[in-house]
Amino acid sequence: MERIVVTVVMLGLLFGLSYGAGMATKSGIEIFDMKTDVAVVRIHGAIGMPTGMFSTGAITSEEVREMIDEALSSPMVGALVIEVDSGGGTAAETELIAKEIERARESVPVVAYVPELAASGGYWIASEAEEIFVSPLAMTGSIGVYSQFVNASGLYEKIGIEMTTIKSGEYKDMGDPSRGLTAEEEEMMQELSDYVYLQFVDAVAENRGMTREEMLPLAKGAIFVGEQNVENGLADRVGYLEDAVARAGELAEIENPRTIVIEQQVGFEEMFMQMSSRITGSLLSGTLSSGWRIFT
Amino acid sequence: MVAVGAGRGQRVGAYFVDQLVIDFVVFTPMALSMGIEPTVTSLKFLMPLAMAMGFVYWASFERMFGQSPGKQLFGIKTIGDKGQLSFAQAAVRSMAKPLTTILMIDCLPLLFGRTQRISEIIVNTKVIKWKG
Repeated sequence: MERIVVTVVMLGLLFGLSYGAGMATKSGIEIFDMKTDVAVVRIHGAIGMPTGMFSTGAITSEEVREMIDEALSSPMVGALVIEVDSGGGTAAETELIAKEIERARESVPVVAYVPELAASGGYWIASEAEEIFVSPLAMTGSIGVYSQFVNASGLYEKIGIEMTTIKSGEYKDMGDPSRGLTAEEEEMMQELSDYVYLQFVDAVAENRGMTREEMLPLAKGAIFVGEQNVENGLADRVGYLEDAVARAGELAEIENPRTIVIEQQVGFEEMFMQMSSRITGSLLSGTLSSGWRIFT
Repeated sequence: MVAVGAGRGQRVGAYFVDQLVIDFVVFTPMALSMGIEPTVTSLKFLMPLAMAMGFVYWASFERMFGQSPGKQLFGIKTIGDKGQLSFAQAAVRSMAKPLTTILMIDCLPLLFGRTQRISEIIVNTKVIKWKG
């Protein structure tokens, strides 16, 4: 009995000692500003969209927040590099992710690195960083928004499907694939689209130190490659990840920073859902329901 | 009465139980107090500290009782040439354990029919079956 008591007391002491040692280490790191790491946060994939047949996976603002929080929870991380590889996604989710990057910048310097593609919403996210590095053949741009509505009435007629819609609210069934948009509805959506577009343009213009008028010629949906991005002001330098990490270290006054990588964890359930959506052809169902989303 | 050497299974089982206990009382509180999840690889300061605490765990229990909690569970005990372990004997035995690579080298004789690790041969201790 005595031995058990002593064992429990010893384990408790060790627990307390370990906790105290951790706190002392953390305080020491903060007091002496011993930041040694640059965290690379990988933002890969379509933004906020459900996975479809050709999607390699979606990323949401919640996942980005978790990754950034995980990176910043280490007392030794002094800067972030956001590695953006995305063709965009929903406008709403893009804006939320952009806010997360902005929030991170309140704590540490943030540099963006584009290894292959940061188009549309992907570019919006990258532009939130203090500087943007693009690899020599990386593509950015595609600044613009769109939404699509499917009119499958002809198909329904061919296969003998008749839809009866009971609605309250004139525009409630707007976007339903059983009919096309009316002229009035098209005008409404165009206004919405223009509104979101200007939000997008103004955000990236502000991030890149340009006026709306300077950004508009670059915001026609065109794509730019490598050095073109630097020439037109959409990026700062052509380089690779190690260059972005070195620059982030410079901004944080860290010499020879160590790199830690934080990436999206795909659980078994999500992998299974992605596989089943590919098998069942959810691209079609996704397309039929996509009209209510505005995509960057 | 002749002491019977502990079986390899008992020793391995005891080691793994002790590792679990160390994870709970050393690694986890350390990571929690530093504000990082155990999966984040900011181990530059965490690992040496954790290894030091692991050494304290092994050495203190073996010095006091000749048994770590894992050994208590599996009914085995460490004895020295004079019965209870001296501090030096407990310390030398415990040095290899926090470092897996060194422990593997230390345990090589056990794979060839010996009943003592290299560090145990050096400090003249052995692990026996014990129903205390």
